[in-house]
Amino acid sequence: MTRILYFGRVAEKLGTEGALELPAEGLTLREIRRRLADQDEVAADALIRSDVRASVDQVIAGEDALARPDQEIAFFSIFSGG
Amino acid sequence: MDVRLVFGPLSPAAELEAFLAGRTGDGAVVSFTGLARGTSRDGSTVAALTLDHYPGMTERSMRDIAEAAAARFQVEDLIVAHRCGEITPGETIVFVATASPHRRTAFEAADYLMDRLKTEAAFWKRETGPTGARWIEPVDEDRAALARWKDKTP
Repeated sequence: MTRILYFGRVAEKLGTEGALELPAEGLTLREIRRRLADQDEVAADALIRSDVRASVDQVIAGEDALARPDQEIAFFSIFSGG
Repeated sequence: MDVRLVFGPLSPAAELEAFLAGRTGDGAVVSFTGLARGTSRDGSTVAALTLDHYPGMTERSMRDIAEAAAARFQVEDLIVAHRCGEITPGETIVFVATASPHRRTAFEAADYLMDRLKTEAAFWKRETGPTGARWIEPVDEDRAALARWKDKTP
């Protein structure tokens, strides 16, 4: 299982991390988001939102970006700023 | 350049003293201290402010902003110290200082640093008050402050 990190409003609803089985060749962030959302209603509500962004290896990435099991994947609400 | 995420109390007096120590080449040092407010925008009481961060990404967002300020303005040195975790009203959240041969540059660089930190730094902030916790996101005023720097060269 690959660890998925959550921050901000997403972490408030789902805790600070989740997990997903990823194939070795990876999946797009869109597909990862959909599979996490399919786990339950709370996850769907927390993740299927236009203001929830994703990052791969700590770089914010678009929905078409591919993430492999050995990469760090995170979903989070928009930054509050300091 | 000193860019730091701070996990405990932050003393603006100590930071400024250290920043000034031995500085002979610059004629101007500008510092800004941001404090946690005890009242929310709607007037309700705030018991605590909590800043969550993403280890690694948050530090890098602060460094990117600091490097952009250093590249844009003729500042000789700068410091950005930002707290995370739980902060109570009256405590320092952020301390910024800039050093330059001339005051205008030092003022502008500090202003720029704060405008970008307030909107773009990778933090998630929530206020805890009498009715529970509430997420705080940048408001139009913050975005307007940031936009001032988009089409202007110093």
